[in-house]
Amino acid sequence: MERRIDGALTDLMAGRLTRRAFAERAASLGLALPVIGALLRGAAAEAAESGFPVTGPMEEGSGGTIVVGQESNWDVLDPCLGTGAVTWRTCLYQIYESLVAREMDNPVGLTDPVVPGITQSIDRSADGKTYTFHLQPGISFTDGTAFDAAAVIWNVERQWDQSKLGRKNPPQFDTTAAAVRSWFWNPAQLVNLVAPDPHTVVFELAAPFAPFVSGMPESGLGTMGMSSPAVWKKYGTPGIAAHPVGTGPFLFESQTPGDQLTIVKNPKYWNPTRAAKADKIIFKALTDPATRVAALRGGEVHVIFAPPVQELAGLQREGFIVTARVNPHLWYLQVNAEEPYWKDRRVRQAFFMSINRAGMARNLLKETALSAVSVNGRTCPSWTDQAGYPEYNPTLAKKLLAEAGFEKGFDTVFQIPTGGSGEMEPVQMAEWIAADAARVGIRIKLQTMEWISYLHAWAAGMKPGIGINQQSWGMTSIYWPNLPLRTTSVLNVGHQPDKRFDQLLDAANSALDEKVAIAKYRAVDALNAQEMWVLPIVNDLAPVAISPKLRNFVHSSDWWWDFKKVWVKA
Amino acid sequence: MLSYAAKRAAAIVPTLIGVSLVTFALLHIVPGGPVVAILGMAASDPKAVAAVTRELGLNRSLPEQYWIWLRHALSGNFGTSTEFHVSVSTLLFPKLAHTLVLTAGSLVYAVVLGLVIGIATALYHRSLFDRLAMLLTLIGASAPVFWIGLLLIYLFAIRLQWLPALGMTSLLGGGGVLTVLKHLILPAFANSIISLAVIARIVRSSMLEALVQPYVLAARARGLPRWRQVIVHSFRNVLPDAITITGLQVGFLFGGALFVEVVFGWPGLGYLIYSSIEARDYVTMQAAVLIVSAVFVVVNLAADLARIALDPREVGA
Repeated sequence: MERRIDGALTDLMAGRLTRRAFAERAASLGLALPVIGALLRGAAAEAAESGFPVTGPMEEGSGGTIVVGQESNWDVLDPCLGTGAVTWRTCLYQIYESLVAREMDNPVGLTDPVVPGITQSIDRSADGKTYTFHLQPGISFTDGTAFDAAAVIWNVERQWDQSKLGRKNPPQFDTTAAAVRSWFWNPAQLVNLVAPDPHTVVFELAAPFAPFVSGMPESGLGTMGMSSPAVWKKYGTPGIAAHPVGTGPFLFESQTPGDQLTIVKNPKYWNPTRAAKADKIIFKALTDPATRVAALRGGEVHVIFAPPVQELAGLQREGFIVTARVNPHLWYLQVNAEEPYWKDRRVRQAFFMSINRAGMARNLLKETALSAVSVNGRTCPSWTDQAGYPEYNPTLAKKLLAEAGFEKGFDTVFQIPTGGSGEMEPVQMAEWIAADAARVGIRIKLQTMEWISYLHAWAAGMKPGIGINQQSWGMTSIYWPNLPLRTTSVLNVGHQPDKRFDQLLDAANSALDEKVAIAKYRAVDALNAQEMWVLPIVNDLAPVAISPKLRNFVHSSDWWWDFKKVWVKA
Repeated sequence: MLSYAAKRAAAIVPTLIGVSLVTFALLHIVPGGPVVAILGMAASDPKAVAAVTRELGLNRSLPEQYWIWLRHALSGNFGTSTEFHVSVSTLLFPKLAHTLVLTAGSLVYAVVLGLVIGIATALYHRSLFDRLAMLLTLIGASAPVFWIGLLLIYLFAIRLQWLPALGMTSLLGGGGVLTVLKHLILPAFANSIISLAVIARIVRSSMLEALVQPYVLAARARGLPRWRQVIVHSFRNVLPDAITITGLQVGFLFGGALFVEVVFGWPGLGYLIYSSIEARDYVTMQAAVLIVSAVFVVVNLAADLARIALDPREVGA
């Protein structure tokens, strides 16, 4: 029945079914009226927000080899060390599974943070400091060793720095893994990890931490991707990347680093109802966008990520399918609180109001993005379009600048990368912003840099003379605003000094009730809408172009991708 | 000749050490580094940066880092890639082989077509064919290689569907030498165009000089067939120039394959260098640049020795 509902929903959102017809079909399948109503509302929201379908053709079946053209290399196939979003979203998510799973291939949208996966259920203590994970029994890694509580603890201890608690780290502890995941483990304040039985793992925290579960799948998934300890025992740390062994629906077959990676269906996947449909997936690194498009047109790949926006209309005319969907992505600016002209809130508000974000999304980005209205990602439960961010209004912007003593405007420098992960078309977008800002008197000089050079400069915090910089991230987890807005956060590269954010974030993080936590995070968003330290510009819909031969392709509503249901029709 | 060869061979090692030193210095001048590439946005955390810097040994002084690298490199150990976490040797040498295949294919195009066009345009000097051929070679030499590559893909892979668009073999597996050769046709041609143009022009101007030499006029007066006048008498004397320029072009073809490899998804050394630059994978970049330089130096030496073998007067020169 689930598959028939999925199919009906897809037809509804693609316009092949009327709302009445969908309701009749859903009722005949036994769905209750309130559920039908919720599905219709959800489908309407999806359709209103994006002009692109969420899925390709849906059809039962299996088989074939999927060839995926990726926009960059994957890095290391180790769930603790692989940091690239490309590595995780298209390669590792198929081999490894996380303690906390999300159902990203659901056409309706993300379900609750915990979808029964290798974790069956999670309990939280009344004081919010203890989380008990009940693991699915009977699961093995693909090397035959047991996935159990000991394996979970082994994996966590690779990246949890216990030296801060005065303890010695175990031999598998990795400094780089701990450094990369510190943004999660530091605020989580894990103090103890025990396994009362082989299928139960207990995390004990020093204090309640509301985003503990929702934060686990974030940031490369590496936080909780489970690899087989036996591989490390046999080959050492480098061996984990050379012999990736997880519990997932696919097995690693071979790779040529930086060129091609092949995974094959796991015939012994522990959940037969969600076993892989395709026989094999080949990931090919095609960094040049024109080459990727040519490969799709030439029939050599079935999927390409990050197609150039100018090519989308042409691809659609040729019979390829372009899917897109809201996801946690946020393209945002930060201003340097230490530059004198940004100290007045009216100036920051004026700058934000000068930018025609909807026009950028429509005309520059060809509707592959939405105007951002929140500092939260659109898939985050605390996202709202009622946070109070001002609308585009250059007339009012000029008035505010004059009131603040800047009737003649001012000059500033905007550092921007020329590319990079999640950056979309950064230079063109920066030029758009500069042109809009110039109309109200803010004269922006762009300072462009290659991505790693830019990260190096960005990570050091804005220096004197730099007024604006830009970044892209966002999470489905409620945790995200801690990163750019907390005054002590290492991502507060604009040196924003307002401790009211810290107070609200502390209250949000320690809330025991999820509704209270969400309300507090929304209060953070509302405060930012007034103070404008982080300027949310657009949310990328992350278009993907696929071959009409692909079946059951569902555009992910998160950073990660799930290819279990996808297959190729000959 | 032997002492000349020995002198040149002895200069190879110091040359390569010099190249590695300059490369090392340039890498460390560029902002960012492997730590930033590894940590991404977590690089804003100074403690994380310090921890990974220590783990990679980048907290050592630059001279110490260079000395450690050089010592290991001289024994064939190029270190571990910070991007892929595998030994650089296992990354490098298969890709070197792929680039050599691409270079060989490009060389065949460049030499065969360059010689044919150079000789033909000299023979039909100032004809429409001569002018058209020189114009096309000028355009080919001036146009960006990646643009030419994309045009070739569009025409032959997408519109006509005669040839594959990318890769070295079929992505779906299978196929042998013939499959590789089929995949080689377009990228090798794209990579060869500039060298083809250079060889054609040099051969043309050398042939024009040779064709008016007294010994060629004498051959014509003796009633020798045209082909003997051209090949045996004229071209033979153009050969040293052709070999020298071809030798120089080999290095150019090898080192310049980067753009072609990116456009065609050819899994070679150039593409590895490109991704290593992006990832600030210092050890891989150093090793790759060293290999490219070594090939360049050795090929130039071979070209010079071949030229001397053909014309011993060159030793004194």
